Amino acid sequence: MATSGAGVTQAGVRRDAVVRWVVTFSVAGIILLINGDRIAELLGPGRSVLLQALVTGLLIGGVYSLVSMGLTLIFGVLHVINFAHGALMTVGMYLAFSLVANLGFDPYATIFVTVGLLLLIGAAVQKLLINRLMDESLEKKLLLTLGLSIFIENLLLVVFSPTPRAVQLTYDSGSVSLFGLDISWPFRAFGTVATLPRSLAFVGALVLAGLLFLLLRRTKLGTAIRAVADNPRGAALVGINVPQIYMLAFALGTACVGAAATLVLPFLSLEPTTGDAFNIIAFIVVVLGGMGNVIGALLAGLLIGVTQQVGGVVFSGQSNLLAVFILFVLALYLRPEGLLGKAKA
Amino acid sequence: MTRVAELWRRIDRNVKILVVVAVVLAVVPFVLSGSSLDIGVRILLFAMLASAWNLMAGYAGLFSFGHAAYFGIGAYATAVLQVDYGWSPWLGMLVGMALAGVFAIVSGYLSFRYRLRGAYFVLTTFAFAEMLRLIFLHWDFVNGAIGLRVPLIRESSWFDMQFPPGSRGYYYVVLAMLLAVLVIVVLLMRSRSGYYIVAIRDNEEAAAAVGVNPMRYKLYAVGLSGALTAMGGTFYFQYIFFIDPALAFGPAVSIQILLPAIIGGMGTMWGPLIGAFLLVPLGELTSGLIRTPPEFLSFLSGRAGLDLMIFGALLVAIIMFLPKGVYGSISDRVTARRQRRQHEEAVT
Amino acid sequence: MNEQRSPLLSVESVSKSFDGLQALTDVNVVVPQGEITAVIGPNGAGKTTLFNVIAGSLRPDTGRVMFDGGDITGWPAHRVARAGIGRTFQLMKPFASMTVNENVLVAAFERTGRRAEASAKAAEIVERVGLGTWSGQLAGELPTAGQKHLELARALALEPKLLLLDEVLAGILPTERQLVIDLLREIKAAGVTMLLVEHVMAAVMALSDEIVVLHHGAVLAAGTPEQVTCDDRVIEAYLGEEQLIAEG
Repeated sequence: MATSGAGVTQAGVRRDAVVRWVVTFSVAGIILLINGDRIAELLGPGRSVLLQALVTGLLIGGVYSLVSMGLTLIFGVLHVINFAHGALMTVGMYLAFSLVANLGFDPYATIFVTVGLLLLIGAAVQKLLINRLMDESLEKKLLLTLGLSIFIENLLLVVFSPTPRAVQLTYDSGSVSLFGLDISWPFRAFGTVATLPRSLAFVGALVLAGLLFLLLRRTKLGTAIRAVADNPRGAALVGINVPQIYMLAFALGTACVGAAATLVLPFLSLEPTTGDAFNIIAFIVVVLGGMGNVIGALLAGLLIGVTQQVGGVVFSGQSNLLAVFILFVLALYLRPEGLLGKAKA
Repeated sequence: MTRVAELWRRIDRNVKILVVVAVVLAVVPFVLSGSSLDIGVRILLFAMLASAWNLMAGYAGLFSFGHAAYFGIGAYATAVLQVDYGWSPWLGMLVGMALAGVFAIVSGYLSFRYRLRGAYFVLTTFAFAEMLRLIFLHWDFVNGAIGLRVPLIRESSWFDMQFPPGSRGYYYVVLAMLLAVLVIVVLLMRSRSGYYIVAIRDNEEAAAAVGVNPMRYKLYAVGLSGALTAMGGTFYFQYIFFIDPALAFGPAVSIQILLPAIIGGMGTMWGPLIGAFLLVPLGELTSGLIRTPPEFLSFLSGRAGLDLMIFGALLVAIIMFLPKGVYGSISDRVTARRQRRQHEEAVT
Repeated sequence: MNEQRSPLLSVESVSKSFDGLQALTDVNVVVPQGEITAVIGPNGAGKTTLFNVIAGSLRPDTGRVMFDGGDITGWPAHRVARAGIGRTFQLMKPFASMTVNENVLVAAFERTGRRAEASAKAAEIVERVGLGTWSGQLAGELPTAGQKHLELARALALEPKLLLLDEVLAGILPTERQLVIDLLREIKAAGVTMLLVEHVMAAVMALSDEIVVLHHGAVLAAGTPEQVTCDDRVIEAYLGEEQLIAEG
């Protein structure tokens, strides 16, 4: 019910939407015009740069999707903005790192441990901390996870010190023979390069995203989760243990970052603040995809990955996050409910 | 004597407290000195910033996670005008306040007009601050990542808002700013506009039904909050002699601005002040522990991050057990008791 | 009958639909000045939607709303309030963090910008509606009846020409109803025009000069209480209407 401004008639809403689209595309157009020569260069002689950006963007976008799906699941079910999402990912990364450095694990084998532990940590956080505040305002829950995030990140700082760590794959480049085909990596096609870790991260992320999706759609647990997201009271009335679902949904969300942590460790440098960038990006992805919308998070994650990399080469003097933010603001202005709106998984 | 007493009774309670607080704080520099004075300055600065934030988030109910935007605009406006054009920081402050106010109103308008609520609104405020940080990081006009420095003069100068180390000048400047903010808050909250703003927070539809224009008063609160925060940005630049995009617009800044208000009590007059009095010394204490720990805590030596770790844990604890903050919880209990007594008296 | 004087409020051919659901269809309502008009009808008939259209929360798809000689169609709620229309809400909306007095003060500020004056006015109205003993109580902690009275007090503080009262008697004990009815009569005597949505038929019959019956978003009948209660269509729509009146 509008109390001011935007008309709530069909005609009024349509007119409003037209204005928004026109303004958005005008602003986008202006930005593109300003960078006209750079864009022309990228579309012409610099095409390989653009293509590389697209590929890299898509690959990292897969990881963004995975992380964001977890975040959006948590928001959709618990209505909690989990500000500790990035910090928990960093925890997963340090865990994986310790396993590799001290116990000689293969980086990818750590996934079982990171997912398992983050599952447990998530469940504990929800049960012990967030549960008490379930009926409170959104801001209180945000502040709680914010406090948690500050605590975790600085705990990592105290324990591990700011020294950046990294993990190197022994099989960073190599080849293998599969079904008579010779496959070698890093992968090269159309003048672009895709390194093994990033490719594995992409594939892994999408596989896990698919598994999450199947879980939500095809299992009893998934149905229960979706029911609680839709209508907690109604779900309770049909016998669903709502507090337990809250815990499980949160745990699933944090398990996603656990998996993502393993996937990115081989190609990112690890510091206590590594999760921050993922945190910010995940929030943007979630809003863009529609809060609570798992498919939306998947698609928006890929979009943001590409935007980030392409934006980075177009606005060559700027941070690649700038393009992401511009997209974010424009998208909010255009469709506040997200590109795919409130449609669910 | 009774006429004076009568007049005294009728003055708003908050005004009385404000007078007492002002007097006490004015006298403090004569008792403290050196590094303690520095802590005092920081307490007052964050009390002031938190109070400005509280205006928008506490009283108007518009939770901002990106107040660094206004802080940074204030700092940079002063910096650029001073470094590049030789303007007095006081003028720079006024310019910064105006720019921040306009920025707040424009971004606020976009959010309100398109009905961004709850999570969307909070994230948008964050996004705007981050955008400014990224833009300034690569902008040559403001010296990008290198930042800007205060041109040093070798004497004490009120015009240039610069004083030798250990001088009480900075303390009194920030005290004046804090008192200005508190006076504005007191006057505003007793006025028609103040009631309108709170009414909109409590129930926007009902407020509109009694003639309050929600958009106008929300923008008023937002603009005022932004302008006052910018004032703090100006002071900060003058005080630490340096500014860069991270110090001006980083998420840490936004968090440090809102924490005292949350911990002290959001939406209350004195919460932000109390929060600052608790948090700043706590921060100093833990930093000190890290720098030179006693024997049994020697493993803490040099470990960065411990102070923030404690902040994080404290924040979690406060949210869980004292959601209205320290002052808010106490105030609530007192009010409830008084009301019960009042009602009983009226009925019997 | 005030045939010569133009009505204070005139709803003309108003229609409103939401996502395909037709809430109001070609509704015409005339509210003569100084009188009490009641809108009755079963739940879902469109009564609150009608109020929302008049008070500015909703824009009609077609038609217009004329008030005091001017077209107020589509005006935002605050502008409608300042023009002289006060309203209460069916689901009470108190300013929970403020006291009863302060709630009414917010409304009183509309008439005067000076705090002392507005405060005095608010206190007076709080007494008038019978909330005197609760004046210092936080509005969020009032019982339902108290909150209903508060809604009324707030609307009154606007010194409106027209009062839109949405189920102001709901949740009030039968024993307390007469107080409210008397209060409404007093308000009418002071020259305020009223448009009521009400289910309590006894009150409707006791107070109204005119009744409009809404059914499925359209006006079924309109006229004096006697005319309306004898109207066959109305009786058919409400099986046992006469029973209802008898029981009141």
